[in-house]
Amino acid sequence: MAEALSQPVSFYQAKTGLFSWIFSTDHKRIGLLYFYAIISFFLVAMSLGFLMRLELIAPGETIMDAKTYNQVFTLHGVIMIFLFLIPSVPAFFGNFLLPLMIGTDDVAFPKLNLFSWWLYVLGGIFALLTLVVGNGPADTGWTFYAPYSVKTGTNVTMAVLAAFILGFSSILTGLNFIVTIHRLRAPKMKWFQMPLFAWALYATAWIQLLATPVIGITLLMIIAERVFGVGLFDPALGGDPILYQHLFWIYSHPAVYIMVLPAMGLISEMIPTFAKRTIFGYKAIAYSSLAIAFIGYFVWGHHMFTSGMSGPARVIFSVLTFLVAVPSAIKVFNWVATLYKGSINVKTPLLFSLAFIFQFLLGGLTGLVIGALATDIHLHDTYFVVGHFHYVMFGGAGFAFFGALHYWYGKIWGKMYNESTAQIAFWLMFIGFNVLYFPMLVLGIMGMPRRYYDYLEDFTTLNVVSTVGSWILISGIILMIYNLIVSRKKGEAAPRNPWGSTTLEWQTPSPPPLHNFDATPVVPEGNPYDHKQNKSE
Amino acid sequence: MANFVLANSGHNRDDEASKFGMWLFLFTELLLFGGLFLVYTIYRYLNSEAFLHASYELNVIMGTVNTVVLLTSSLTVALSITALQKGHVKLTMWLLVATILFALTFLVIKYFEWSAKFEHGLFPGMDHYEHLPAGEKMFFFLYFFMTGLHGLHVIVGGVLLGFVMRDIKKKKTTPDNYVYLENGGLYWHLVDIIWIFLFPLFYLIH
Amino acid sequence: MADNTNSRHLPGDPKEHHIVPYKFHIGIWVGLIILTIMTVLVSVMGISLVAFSVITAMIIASAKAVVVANYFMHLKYENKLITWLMGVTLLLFVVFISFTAFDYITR
Repeated sequence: MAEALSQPVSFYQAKTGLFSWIFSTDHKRIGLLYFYAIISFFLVAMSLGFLMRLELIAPGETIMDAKTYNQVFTLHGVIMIFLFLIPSVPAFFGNFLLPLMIGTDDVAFPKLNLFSWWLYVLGGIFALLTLVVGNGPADTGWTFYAPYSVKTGTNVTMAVLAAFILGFSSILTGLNFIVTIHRLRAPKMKWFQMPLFAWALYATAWIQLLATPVIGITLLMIIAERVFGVGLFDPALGGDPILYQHLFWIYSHPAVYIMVLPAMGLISEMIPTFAKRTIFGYKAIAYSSLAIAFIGYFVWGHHMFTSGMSGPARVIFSVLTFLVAVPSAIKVFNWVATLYKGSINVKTPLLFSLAFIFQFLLGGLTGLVIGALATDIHLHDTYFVVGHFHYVMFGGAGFAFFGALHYWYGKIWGKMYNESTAQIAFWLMFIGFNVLYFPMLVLGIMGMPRRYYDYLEDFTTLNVVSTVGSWILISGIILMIYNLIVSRKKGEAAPRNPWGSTTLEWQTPSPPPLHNFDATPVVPEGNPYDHKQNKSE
Repeated sequence: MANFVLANSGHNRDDEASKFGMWLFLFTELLLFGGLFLVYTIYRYLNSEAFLHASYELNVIMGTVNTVVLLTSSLTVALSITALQKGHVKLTMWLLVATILFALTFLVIKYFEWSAKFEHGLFPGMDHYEHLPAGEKMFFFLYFFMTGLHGLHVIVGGVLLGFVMRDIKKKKTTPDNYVYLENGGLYWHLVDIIWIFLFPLFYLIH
Repeated sequence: MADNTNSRHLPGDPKEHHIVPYKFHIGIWVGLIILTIMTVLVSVMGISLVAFSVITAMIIASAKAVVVANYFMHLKYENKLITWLMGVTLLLFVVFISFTAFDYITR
């Protein structure tokens, strides 16, 4: 408490008023602007997911017809991917934490940072406008596969435009982070003294920068196709739809690493803190981030095994896909090795991290099943795929996001959350998640295809189980959000370093002052997670 | 305490960071056009006869003149940086004026080229175009799409250089602080490099 | 928001700004024009062998691009890092094109 008296003015109090937020160039405020937008979109898309599960509680038409269902899953995918998963960790946690972690006061281009947020908002508005303008939201799936996306009467043009603008926003965030990490690290911080989250952001930023332009131009081609009807991807007019799939996945496969790599970075921050142990294999984790980013560019064809791609190309893409498993496994082994013989402090962020490891493992292993050419032919476009990517994306990236929200809650909002409520929310989410998505893996093996509003009677039981899981999961999420909102007012004041962490952001008051630090941060010598040096706790 | 400033503040002037950022942006531009070059490559491979036939419709002389115009504009931008570094502000301004005039020349020539294609009905949706074989349609669509996008970049580049000129007039860009001119120049050269590839791909491969 | 005018220097940054002489730039320009004339001549008067014509056109265009990047864009005088990263970008571009083309060639 004595500490609270000596606290300088926090960045919240430094300036006030609406304009001090929406035109702020402070990375912390921009991060929070992203957060509030991202979490709103998450809740919208979550509600859409809830409706889909409700439709699937029984065979036949339950609450919506086929076309509506198609539109709902498309919008669910578009929002979750372009407006939640891609910006979630980099644009919110990255913006807020990166400058703090590397001991500087802002990103390299603060105005550009604000501009990216405005682009994000614009893209979000376009995505939501598809609901009310024209013939309703797109019904193509988030992949906008041609030639259907060129021919459908729904509002594909606007949805595609939204994705294009959001891509631009993502590029500028990546660009900003790369320059920030190269130029603005604390004078004594060498590359291999950076926190692993910064490494993860760095690797991610390169994907954002070098993969996103390809989707940008692809989406422009879809718009041009819809306007001029040239048949660029229409076999009836001499085009090739598989070329569209190549272009789309050249971006979208690396993009799945935009979603999960920074989440892995968050886990690498939380595990050593709650195990009170120096992270195992620091360099291996740092390099594996770069390796995942790099190898991710070589494997896009594994999304196209049943598209009619040539045999040799399929084999090569399948083999290359297995390479990604190596750096991913390196990370998992290192996290587990860090926990081994650690002095484990079971707090909500650790629970989310452990859930991440478990669910990412399942998502990763099921990924190998569909990365293998032979098994994919059987499982392609079934619920197995839906289960797989929800395990990686929600069970992985989503859980890391929520865990990190608890871990840095005190740093960001200056109050501590209520631990026991948070743990109840966690268990609801963990149980709900697995009850919701595990049956999907089984349904997929049984042969239930994805993207239909209807299914055979045989699949009913597991679908009911899955829908009930969605209710448990959503009640967990609501409880978590309720807890975080209440704690904002009623929580105890957060000290500088509530968890005994070792990275630089914990050396400054919670919440930080306008220029981040009230004294030059001390960069620990050697490994940034050296818990032997840290005896303050 | 309130005015504590770090040595590595993000608000310091850092020309190297600005240039680095510009280069990273140029990488994204390369890959943006890269997607189109990919489409071009695949369709050229699938329709080589049709592409060859269609490419004879383009005017090599106009293409060549435009290439020379753009290369010369690249020279004037490069010279303008040297001029500003040496403190010759007036010369810098004249060289930038020349660059923008070259940009306009390029666009005017492009306009005449496109008009000629329009007169022949070669734009998607027009009469002649609709009767072409599929491969040739592809060629003309890509021609309009890629040169159109490039033309857009020429306009953006010219406007950027216009802003740099305003900055020089306002003495914000000076012989000691010319990173905006350098970045504007970098963008302009990129526009040139894209054209260096577009020119042979559409006009010359016979 | 102290607008500090102290420029920051990191390892690898060029120590002083390299001023390229006017004459040198003009020489580069002459070279580029000659390459342009060459590529046009190969196309107009050259052999009508398509594969050959594609390869020469692309080699000349790449040579021109390298010259523009190295000298007009001062890549030669910048931090070597940028050259390396440019290499990575181009490598990825080559991967995109070659992997996709591989699918079509082997179909």
